[in-house]
Amino acid sequence: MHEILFRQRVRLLLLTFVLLTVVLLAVLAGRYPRAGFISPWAAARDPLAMSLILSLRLPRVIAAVLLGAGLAAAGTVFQMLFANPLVEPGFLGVSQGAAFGASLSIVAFSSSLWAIQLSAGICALTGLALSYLIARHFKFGGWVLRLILAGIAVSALFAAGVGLIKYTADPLSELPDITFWMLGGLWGVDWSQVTSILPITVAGLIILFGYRWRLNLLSMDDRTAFSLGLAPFRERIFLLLTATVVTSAVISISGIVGWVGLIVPHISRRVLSSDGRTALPGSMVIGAIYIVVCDTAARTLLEGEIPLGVLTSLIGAGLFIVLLTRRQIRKGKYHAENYT
Amino acid sequence: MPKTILEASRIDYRYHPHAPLVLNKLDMYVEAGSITAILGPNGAGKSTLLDLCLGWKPPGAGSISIKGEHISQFSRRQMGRLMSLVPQNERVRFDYTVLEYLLLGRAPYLGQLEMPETRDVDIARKALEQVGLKELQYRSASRLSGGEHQLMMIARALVQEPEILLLDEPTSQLDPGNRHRIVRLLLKLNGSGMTILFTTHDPNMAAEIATHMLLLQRGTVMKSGTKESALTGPNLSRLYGIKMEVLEVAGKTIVFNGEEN
Repeated sequence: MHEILFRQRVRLLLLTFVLLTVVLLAVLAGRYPRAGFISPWAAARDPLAMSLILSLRLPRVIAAVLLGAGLAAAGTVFQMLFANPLVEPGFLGVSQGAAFGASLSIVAFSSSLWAIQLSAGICALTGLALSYLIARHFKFGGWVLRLILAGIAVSALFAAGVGLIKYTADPLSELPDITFWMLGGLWGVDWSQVTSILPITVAGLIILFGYRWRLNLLSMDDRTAFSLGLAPFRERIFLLLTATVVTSAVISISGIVGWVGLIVPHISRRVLSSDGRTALPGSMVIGAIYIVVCDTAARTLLEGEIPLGVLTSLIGAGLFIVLLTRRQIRKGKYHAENYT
Repeated sequence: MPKTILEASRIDYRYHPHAPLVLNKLDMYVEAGSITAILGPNGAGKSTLLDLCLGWKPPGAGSISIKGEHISQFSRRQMGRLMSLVPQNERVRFDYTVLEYLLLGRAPYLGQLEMPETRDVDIARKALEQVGLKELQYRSASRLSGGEHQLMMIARALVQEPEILLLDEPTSQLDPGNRHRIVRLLLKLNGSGMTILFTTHDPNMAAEIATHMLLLQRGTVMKSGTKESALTGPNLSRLYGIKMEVLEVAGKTIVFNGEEN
C-alpha cells in the first residue's frame, strides 16, 4: 500500500468516527424534556424519553444515514460514470421521475409504502432511460451537454405531470402526501419504513462499494476503458441502474432531498481524493453526516419542522456557488476546461 | 521465418452503412518483435486501423487475428493483456495522482471487484522508472506538461504488460527533446521484445525507429514491407502528393521535403 492511500484511509476512519459521534448526539438531541440534548443516564431513567428515542429518533436517524449515504454515493457514481462533476441523479430525470411515480401512486393506486416505492422506482428508471435516449438523438453539443439538456427536458415533463396530478388530487387526503414528497423530509419515519428500504439500500451500497476502484476505469472515455480490457457500456449500465435503485429507495421515504448528490462528492474529492477507492466511501460517510446534522437541525431548531429538502437545498446551492467561484478551488482540484 | 503476431486480411470499414469506405480490402501483417509505422496523409484511415486492431471497431468485412487466432476468440481481459493503446489526446478528467492513473493499467489483471495491491503498485512504479517519471508519482496527473503527459500515457500502457503496443501519433505535439525521449524509449522497449505499431505524420520518426512500414492512402495499402523497401523517395512523393526524397546521411536515414532542394 502506498503512503498517500494510507493517509486517506486514516482520514476516512476519522470521518467514520465523526459519523458515529454525530449519530449518537442526534439520538440524544430533541425537544423533550426540553430543547437540547438529554444525557443517556437521564434518558435511561425516563421511560417516555426512552420510548421517544427508540421508536422515533433512532429510526429517523438511521433513515437519515441511509438517505445521506445513498444520495451521495449515487451522486459520486453518476459523476464518475459521466466523467462530469456537475451531474447527479436529480439532473437526469431520476428525482422528478420518482416524484411523478410517487404522486401517481398516491392518486391512482395506493398510498401504501410499497406501492409508492415501486411506482417511484419504475418512474425513476424511466426518467433515466428517457434522458439517455433523448440525449442520443439531440443534434448538437457534446455528450454531457446533451445529457444534461435532455435531463432538464425530461424533469420538466415529469414536473408538469406532477402538476397535473396535484390539480386532480383530493386536497384533503392526497394533496398533503404529494406536497410532502416534493418538499422532502424525514418526519414521521418509523421502523416499518426504515426496514422496508434497509435491505435494498444496503445491498445497493455494498455493490457500489465493491466497484469503487473500477469506477475510475469507467470514468475514462469509452475507447480507453475498452483498451484497458473492460466492456464499458455493460458495466456502466449496471452501475447506473444500481445507483438509481438506491436513489429511488431512499427518496421513497424522504421525498426529494436536493443537492446532496451534487455537493457531497465534491467535498469528498477535496477532503480525500479523486480516486474512487476513497472518494466513494468518503461520499457515503460525509453524505450521512450531512443529512444527520441537517435533519437533526430540521427537527430541533424550531418548534415546528423545517422541511429537510429546503434546508439541504439552501446549504447545498450555497456551497455549490462557493465551490465554483473560489479561485483556488477552480485552479486546484477542478479543471473547468476538462469538463466541456 | 518471421512470425506474424497481428494480421488483418481484406478488412473493410465504414462509419455508417451508407458512408464511403474508410478502409478498403486492407491487408496488414505485423511481425512479432517489429516496429511498424503506419504513414499516410490526413484521413487515410490510420487511426481507424488502430481502432480495428484493438477490437474497438468491428470491420465491416474481412478478419483480424492475433497470433493466428481470430480477434473474437479473446476475452476483453485477454485483449487488455495482449495489447495496449497510447491514445492521441486523452484528458485526465478527475484529479488523480500519476501513480493512481497508472494503476488503471492493471485492470486486465484484476477481477471486477478486485483492487490493485502492492504487486500492482510495484509494477506501476517500475513503469514510471522506465519512462523516467519516478519523481512525479504523487503529482497531479492533470497538471503535467505535454511531454510528461505523453510519457505517463506510455507508462500506463506498459503497466498493462502488453505484447503489442499501439500508439496513435505518439510525438505529434512534442518538442524535439521530448520527441527524442519517446523515440529512445520505444527503441528500448522494442529491444526487450515488445512489438510496436504506431501511426505518424512524421516520416523522419518512422525512418528513425521503424523496421517495417505501411503506407496508407485513402483506406488502401499503397505499399508495405520493410523500411528499406517501403521508405523511398518515389513512394513518399506519391503518398503525400509533393516531391520528397530519402537520403542516407552519416548512417542515418533522413527524409527531405524535396521541393526545398
